[in-house]
Amino acid sequence: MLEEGSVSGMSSGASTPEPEAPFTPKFVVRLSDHVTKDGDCVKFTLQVSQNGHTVQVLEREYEDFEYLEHCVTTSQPSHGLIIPPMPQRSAIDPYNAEIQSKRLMGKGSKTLIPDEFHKDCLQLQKYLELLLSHPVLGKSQKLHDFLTVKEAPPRTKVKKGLISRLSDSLDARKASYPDCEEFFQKERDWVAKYQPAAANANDAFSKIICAQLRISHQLEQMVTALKLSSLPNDQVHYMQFNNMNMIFLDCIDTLKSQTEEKADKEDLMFGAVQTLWHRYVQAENAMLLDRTCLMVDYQACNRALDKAKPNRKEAAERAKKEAEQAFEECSDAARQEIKEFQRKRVEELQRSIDQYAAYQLTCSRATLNTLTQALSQIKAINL
Amino acid sequence: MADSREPPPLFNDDDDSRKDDDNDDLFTSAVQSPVSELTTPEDQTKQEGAGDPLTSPPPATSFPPDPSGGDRPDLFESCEEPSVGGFSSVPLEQPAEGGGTQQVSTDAKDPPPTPPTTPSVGSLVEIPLIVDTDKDQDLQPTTTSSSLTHPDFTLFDPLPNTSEALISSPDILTPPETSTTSTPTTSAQELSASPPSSSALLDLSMTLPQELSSEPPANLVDAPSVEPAVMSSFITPAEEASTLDAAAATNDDDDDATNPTNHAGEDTASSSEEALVTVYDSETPEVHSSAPELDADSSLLNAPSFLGDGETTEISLDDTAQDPPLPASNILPPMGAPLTPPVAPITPTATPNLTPNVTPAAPTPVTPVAAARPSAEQLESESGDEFIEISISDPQKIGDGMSSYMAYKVTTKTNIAYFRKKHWSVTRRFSDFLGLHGKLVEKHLHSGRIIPPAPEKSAIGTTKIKLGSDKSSDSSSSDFIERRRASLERYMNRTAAHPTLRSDPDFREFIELDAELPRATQTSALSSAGVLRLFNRVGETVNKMTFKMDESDQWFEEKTQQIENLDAQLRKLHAAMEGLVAYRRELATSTASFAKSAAVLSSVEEHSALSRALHQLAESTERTHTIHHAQADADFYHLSETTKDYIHLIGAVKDVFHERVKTFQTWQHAQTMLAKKREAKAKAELAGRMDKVQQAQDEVAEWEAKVERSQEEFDRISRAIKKEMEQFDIVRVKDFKDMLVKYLEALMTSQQQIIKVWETFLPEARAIS
Repeated sequence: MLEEGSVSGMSSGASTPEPEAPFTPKFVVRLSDHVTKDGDCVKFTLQVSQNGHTVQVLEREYEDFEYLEHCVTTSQPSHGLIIPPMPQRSAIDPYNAEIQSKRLMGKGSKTLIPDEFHKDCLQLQKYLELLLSHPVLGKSQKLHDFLTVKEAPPRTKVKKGLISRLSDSLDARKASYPDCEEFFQKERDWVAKYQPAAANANDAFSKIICAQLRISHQLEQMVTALKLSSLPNDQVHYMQFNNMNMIFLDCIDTLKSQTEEKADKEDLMFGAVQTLWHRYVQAENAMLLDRTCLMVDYQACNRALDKAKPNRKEAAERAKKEAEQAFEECSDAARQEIKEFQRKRVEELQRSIDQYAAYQLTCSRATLNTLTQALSQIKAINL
Repeated sequence: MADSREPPPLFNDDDDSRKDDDNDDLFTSAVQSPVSELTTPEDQTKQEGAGDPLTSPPPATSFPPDPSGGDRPDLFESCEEPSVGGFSSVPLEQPAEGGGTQQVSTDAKDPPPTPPTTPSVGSLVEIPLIVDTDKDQDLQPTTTSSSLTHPDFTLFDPLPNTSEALISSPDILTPPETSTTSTPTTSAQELSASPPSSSALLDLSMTLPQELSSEPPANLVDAPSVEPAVMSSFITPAEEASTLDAAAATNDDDDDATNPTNHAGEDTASSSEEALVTVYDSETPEVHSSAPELDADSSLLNAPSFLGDGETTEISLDDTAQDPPLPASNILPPMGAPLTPPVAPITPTATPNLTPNVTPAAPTPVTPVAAARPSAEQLESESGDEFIEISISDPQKIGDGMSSYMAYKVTTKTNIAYFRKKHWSVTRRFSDFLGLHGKLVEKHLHSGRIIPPAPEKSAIGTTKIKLGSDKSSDSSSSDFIERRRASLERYMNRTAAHPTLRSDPDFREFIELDAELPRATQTSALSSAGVLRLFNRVGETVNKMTFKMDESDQWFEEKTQQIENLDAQLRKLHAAMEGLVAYRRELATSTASFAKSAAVLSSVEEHSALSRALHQLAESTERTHTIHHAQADADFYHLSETTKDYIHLIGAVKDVFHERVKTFQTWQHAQTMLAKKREAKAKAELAGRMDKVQQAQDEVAEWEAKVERSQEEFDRISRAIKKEMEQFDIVRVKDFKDMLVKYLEALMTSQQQIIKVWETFLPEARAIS
């Protein structure tokens, strides 16, 4: 216990140095909308620039990003680092696309949601930005290579073996160990509470998006039905009917595209941000778990040292030192990371909420405008 | 003018309109067909009414026929058949007029006259006289009863005018008539020529005063058909004979009714006639006096000519005028005759019909309302924009368990004169609504009217409510009740918007009678009637599938196609709207759940500014949730339900079209039978068997009459449907506009609310950060 106290005293007492200067990413990456799809192979075009000058234009596949993530996280000790989450792969093949469409549009839906590469682009771009702006990961040579070498590095299939999964699950059991330091304990508690709440919010929000997409789809069907219901133009009231029908149809059509666009933008503006930070928190959680494992190791070493017989004392001492060092380093890095992480998170979430609200306003105003026009036109028709 | 006549409705009893109708009927019937085909005379009158203000009453007249028919389906049918015969007979004989009036009275007196066996022509003639006397008697009482009768005279005036015109024009016709069969054909041609003009007039009238015209149209349509019948009767002696027989049959019915009443009324009638004549002179009918009227008059004239008694023709007119009063006297006393006075002359005939119908059905007699006698002017002004608005409220569960039912409060606001009050309410249960619809269909479908369909019975929804212990506990059942209430309200207002249907005695009884209606037992899906209905429907469907009518009328061909298309489109539209409503609801619920999770998130959030922002977000989304919910309801009630109503209305239109096809079938059948009979006759002649020839001759004549009748019927229903469809289309466009306006307004309100929500959110959120 004493050791623990000393450890905590050491790590927490030392005033964690603020990052000397805000880390500036070495490159700026932009994923252009130019996406080529060849079967299952989707190639994104990256435009890498440095100090305002385009350095390289490359093509990368999703698999390349996967390999990059693997390399970045394994090529250096990453204890105490919160690794930016890799965006999830979107469905490309028809089968998965159908499953996803059904999930979004309802089981009876016959529409396939078309590929939405611009979303993927934005998410991947965000991922690269996060990597590049990370004080440690941003310096990774692998990342730099990824962005500067024309040919994508040969990649190997990244697979999680049985062993690693087993160790993961063993590690997960350690999550319940009480932390020796209040800061981390609080953070862990927060993450434990925050994660399910964020997951719920994400689900609920994606349901809103779904509902809007479905509404826009129904509006489209209404438009087609209305288009069919025009009458012969041979009587006055038929003509009036047709006129009104046309106005209404146009109005509904506009509403439809507005709803669709709104759903799309909301998803990007708010939903994607929510998801990103939800997954980022998961990454934080993984980091905290990693740290907890180190702490547990360190405590075990301490106990071993206490119990160690004199002839083994030296080895135990060494082991304890190593564990202590690893733990200390991790804790220091983690403290930095968490502070930075929270700062970014709050900032981005607040901005997204703000944007979301502002966008709601613009959307509603646009819709209202459309409606007002249609209504006045219809009212102008005298029966 | 038409308005003025309609006003007569001021009578609370509804008799006014009927009276008018009756009067018209009498005139028309006297002229055209003694047989009191309720529908045909009415139709004629309506047509005339459309053309002339005078004629306007005819719309009301249409009511009387309806009541008679409506009360007893048997009567209706019998009336129709006899009526056909009657038409032909009428022109021949004045008695027919009497018969017509008699029928009205008979209906009142003897509800179910079965189609009588055909009496000899001579007997028929006699009968009419008797009828006249009866009517006269009736008239006298009415006149005596109230000074109101005078106003009636004014009403009559239009008719007299027309009659004068007719007389003048008819003169030409009459000569041929005198010449007997050979001449009649020419006259018939002339007459036939005139009908088209009348129809044109009618159209004009229709377009000009939509409200007024709306009522008349159906009637008008019917009328033309009647006229042709009369004409035809003139043309061929054989036909005449057949028609006479039919008329005789009808007369018999009339006789039954009239016999009881028969007394010396001729004198009074004659006196009244004179008065009427003077009145006519003084009051020149409007220039409009429509061709149809003329035709009718001419037919009347012709008929007299046949008889050889000019006086008789006059009498017939008088009778008609007088007749109304008589019935009024009979009926009015209980019903509130005093009120009717203005209309009284007209009403009398109408009242008889009404009273029979009303009194049996409603144990509690409608208390006569001492309404101020509306002056003709008042009537006109009111008729100009009459409105009726029915609202359904306060659904209540009455009773427990499976025997429980929902009762609704039916509140009516109206300025239509034939209702007793301006504003009142009654309590009705759901099956009453269905019963009303059934009655209306029975009475009006065959005459080509589109009857708004009643809401469907939902066994599941009802059972749920019946078994549910608490009325308000279940949101789904309260949803169901609200939906049903709204659809009942729409149903009632649609029905009320139809001038003919809203003046139907059953309809008026339904909304006016402050007591429980007799249980409508025929509405339950499980009752024997329900099973029967099912069989009928299957039979009709088979018939629809198997019988392909080769359409002679291009209008109908196009329209049928159009209706089919419309049906398909509406169904598609409705499906899309249903989806829209469902997803709008989904949006509302997911917004609500997002609001909740945002609230949770804000409570978890440690960063105070972000937490507060999230909290704000939660509140705002919570507010938008209610907005979305309201919007879903608006989608549902404004778009989806209206569209669904129209799908059902299209169903009603199809029914009417099918009714026409059925009429066509009857006609075709009659034609084939006629061909057979003629063949038989030819054979008999060849064989030289004179005894059989005579019999065959009779049969041929009989079937010729039938062909004629069914053709008339077919023409009539075709015309009626055209008018109805025109109106239907107009109303549809209007409804469509209303729907769009309401819906867009609802959408706008929700958008405005959403804007408000986020407008309040933004500054707060920015203040926090």
